[in-house]
Amino acid sequence: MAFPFAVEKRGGLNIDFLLTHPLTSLFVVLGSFAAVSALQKKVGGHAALNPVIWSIIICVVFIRISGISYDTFMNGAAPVHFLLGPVTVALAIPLYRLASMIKQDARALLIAIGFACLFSAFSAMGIAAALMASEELRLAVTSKSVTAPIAIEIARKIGTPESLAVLFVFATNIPWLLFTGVFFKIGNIKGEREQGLTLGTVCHGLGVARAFQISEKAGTYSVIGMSVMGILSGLLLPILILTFFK
Amino acid sequence: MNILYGFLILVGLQLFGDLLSHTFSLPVPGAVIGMLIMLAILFIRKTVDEPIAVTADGLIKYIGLLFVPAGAGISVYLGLIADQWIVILAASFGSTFLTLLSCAWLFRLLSKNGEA
Repeated sequence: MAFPFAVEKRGGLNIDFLLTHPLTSLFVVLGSFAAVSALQKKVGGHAALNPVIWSIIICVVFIRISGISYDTFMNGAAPVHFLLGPVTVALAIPLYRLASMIKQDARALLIAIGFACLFSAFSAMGIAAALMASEELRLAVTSKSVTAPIAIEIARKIGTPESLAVLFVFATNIPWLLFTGVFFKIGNIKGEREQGLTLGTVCHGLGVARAFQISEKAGTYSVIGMSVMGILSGLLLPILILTFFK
Repeated sequence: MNILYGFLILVGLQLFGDLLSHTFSLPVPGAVIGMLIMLAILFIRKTVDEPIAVTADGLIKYIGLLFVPAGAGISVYLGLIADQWIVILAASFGSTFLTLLSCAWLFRLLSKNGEA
């Protein structure tokens, strides 16, 4: 078996050894998330200190400054990345727990979310096409309103980069969460059920957090919205895209 | 042991979903198939077993952490983003606006029991 590291230079601090060590990348992922989470807690949970967004930025800066390749980084971050599948399966649990609470609205919810699933994907694709976006971008934007783990699964199926899926998920989330108040006024969307449903369906994870700030009921509807949107998109988007746009 | 059992079930269902997806060349991601099977099991058994509940809640609590590695992949696409940020923002923002409105209105139209 070949010795993996340079033998002639034993001992001493080897910066390349440190930067390319898989645990360094894992440490940066976990450390940045822990640090920003702690900081966010300290300042009273301010939304601008979203740990996911800042961790991604810190990791990108780390990759650029250290000069390691994304593959090297991913080699270390793999244990975290690998959990995306199991967490997708786990999303069935909150959906099941809340399902009994929305029985009277089940049909209306399914139709509204089903519509949102198709409309969101193809209006985004249409706008991207109208602006002369590349094929890669046009396809990648379709999963923008799907919760990130499922958006990544869809990206794998339709052959677009996973990171673009995450990028669009956040490009969708962030601007809207700043303007939801104004938006609900313009659209005359007053009911907590409607507000919760739309936040969860279209703005997924961060939308759910926002909906729980409105009320428990809005939160429930937002979790239903996010989960059902994820399932329907996972079922419908890859087949539609692979059939008609590839 | 709870987390071990719970994790075993989650991983097992995803593996089974991946296997189905691959074997029958389904366009549906394996993890989504696994999630639907999990959901079906829950509806049939009408209860969430402790190991599953503990593991799922623990994982979901850190769901944000799990997409940091994939998100960091934008380091490869910084040029594309600098080039296309108008498209990225316009498509996300415009489509989200239209979908939010139509989804809320459609739900209000279909939902019978007034406004709560």
